[in-house]
Amino acid sequence: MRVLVIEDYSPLRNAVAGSLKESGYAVDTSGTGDEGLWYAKNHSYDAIILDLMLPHVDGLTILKSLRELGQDVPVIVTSARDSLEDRIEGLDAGADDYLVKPFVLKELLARVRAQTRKMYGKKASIVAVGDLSIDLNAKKVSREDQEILLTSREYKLLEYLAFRADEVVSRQEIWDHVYDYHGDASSNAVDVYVGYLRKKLSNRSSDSYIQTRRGIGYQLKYIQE
Amino acid sequence: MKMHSIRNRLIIGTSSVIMIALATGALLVYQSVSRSLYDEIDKDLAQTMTHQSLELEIIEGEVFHEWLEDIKKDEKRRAGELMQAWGIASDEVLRSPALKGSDLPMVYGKFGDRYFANHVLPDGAHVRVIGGLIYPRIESLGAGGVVIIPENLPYIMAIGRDTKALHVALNRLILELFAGLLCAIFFSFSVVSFIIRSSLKPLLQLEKEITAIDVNNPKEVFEIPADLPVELSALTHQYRELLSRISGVRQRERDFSANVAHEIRTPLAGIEATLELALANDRQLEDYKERIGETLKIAMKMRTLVNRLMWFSRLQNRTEHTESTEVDLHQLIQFQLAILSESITARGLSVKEDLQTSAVFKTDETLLSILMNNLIGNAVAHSDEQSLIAVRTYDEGRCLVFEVSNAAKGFEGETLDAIFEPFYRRDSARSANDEHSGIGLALSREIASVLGLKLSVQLKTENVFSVKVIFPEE
Repeated sequence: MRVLVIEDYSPLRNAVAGSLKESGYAVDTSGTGDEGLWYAKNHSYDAIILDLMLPHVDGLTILKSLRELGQDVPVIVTSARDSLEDRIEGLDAGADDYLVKPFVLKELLARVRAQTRKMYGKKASIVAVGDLSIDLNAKKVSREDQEILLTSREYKLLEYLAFRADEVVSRQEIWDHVYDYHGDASSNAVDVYVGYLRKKLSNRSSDSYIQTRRGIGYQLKYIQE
Repeated sequence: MKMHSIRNRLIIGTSSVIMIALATGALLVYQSVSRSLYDEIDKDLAQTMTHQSLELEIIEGEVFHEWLEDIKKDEKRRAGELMQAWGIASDEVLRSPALKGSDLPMVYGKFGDRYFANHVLPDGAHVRVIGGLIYPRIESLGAGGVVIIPENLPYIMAIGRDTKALHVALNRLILELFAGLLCAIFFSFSVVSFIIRSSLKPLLQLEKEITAIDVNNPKEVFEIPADLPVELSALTHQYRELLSRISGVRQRERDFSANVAHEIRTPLAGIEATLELALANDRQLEDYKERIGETLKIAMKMRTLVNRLMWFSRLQNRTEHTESTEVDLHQLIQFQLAILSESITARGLSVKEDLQTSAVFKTDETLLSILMNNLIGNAVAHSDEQSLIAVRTYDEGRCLVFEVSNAAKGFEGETLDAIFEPFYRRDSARSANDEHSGIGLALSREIASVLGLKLSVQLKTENVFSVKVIFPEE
């Protein structure tokens, strides 16, 4: 999952971004409104964490611009403005959630998870594909109660595919949602990590979870041959 | 404090004036009637006097008082006539029987003139008296050819007229006038009271409107009653204006509180998030140190903000103690530029100094240092990169002026007034950035006010922003 953090106060921006990264998200950050709007318009995010009072372009303007462009990415507004009017204004402008500063990072992460689940139509925090179980909260993958140990990048890839289970997902989409703007992944990283994942997920040669759709992309779908 | 009632004052004052006017009118009426009645009596007495004076005759060389004889002859008709005569040459005194031996006042003067007086007889009767000097009329001289000259036999004659009926009539008039006066006073008091109460009724309505104002709603203004007298409309409009200004001040206070909360909440969120992240996973010692160090930095900036807010509050309330010492402004400017040299270099700025005037004067050095630091620091922080900052001092009239100007694009004239508001920023960003808390210029304004300096800002050209501090002659 890829998240954009637009916050002008650098210590808070760094802490939120650090927390998201440690939770397995790909994170882009911006300290100004104009730059943040550019990121939001030109990249595909699974959630945006948006401060309202920003230099150059304020948060509400960013929010309205995105909604006018038809982008339905979940936006969680974080602001020190806590009045009822402020919250109503933020939500009416198109925010999916409104969190007043100071907030607890765990709560912010939970709200990000809830919004991303909602975005992909998953109400439960555990996604099952065949006998594979993916716990989105605990960031753990198991099969028949046996945990499968994945690296952070492998988990990110599987989580995104799990959100879009049964759909064919292009490499570009995977790239956009799993790696951040300044990520160091090379162009064939998606194929490499898909290969690693296949090996770790399949314990029998006849089991297959990730299907290749040649020329299109990949699909998470359990097939027992 | 004893409060005076305008209504009572108006009612009492107006009623008193009306009462005095009516009483004066009644008195004039009484006097006019009284004078008229007395005039009638006096005219009648004068005619009687003229007539009776002819009744003093010299017959056959002897003075003959025919008036007295006539009274005696016709006692029935003239029994009540009060007449008396004094013979100046003969010393004789003659009285009509009605006087019963008492005297009328001896009023007289030149021959032919008539004199009037009021007199009270021993029996208590009030009489109006006419008196005058008369000479006997020669009817016939006596035998022997004695020459009698009337002027040698002068008499004083006094005729009285009972004025009981007149006094009864005047007393009745007094009673009637008094009753009329009371009625008029009561009526006028009622009318005046009604008019004043009606006139002041809109004031009560206004009072209700003002009482009903919700002090927590700064935008609310009271309705001016439609029937408010024009005399009060100016006052009411001024009061509305005052309320509006108070509302503005209250709104600014609310904004200030909200901004303070925001400025503290944001770094607080930074501290919480940094510490929470530090504790979220097991880390290396160096990682912990780095995160704690970041938190400490935020806490120190918060302390700076809180200190500045405290300064601001004390300066606003004029509770900050000041101490005047001799201060060299140029030395102070040089010192502040030295402190800011790192930032100046980092932003590629160049500083042009033009400190021509000697500037040593007595003021509070600490406050002036903060003022200079704020103004020069503000110029350094907000100048366009690679631009020029001009710092100069010069004389203007008998005042010393310190001016710092810098290039700052996008500054619009209408924002200049707001620049001294606490937490004012040119864009919507409000969170405390690395260097500035947003309260520096507001603090500067308060310092200038406390030190008796004049602080102003202006756009010298489209992109050159200038701040001036005018030091008074002293």
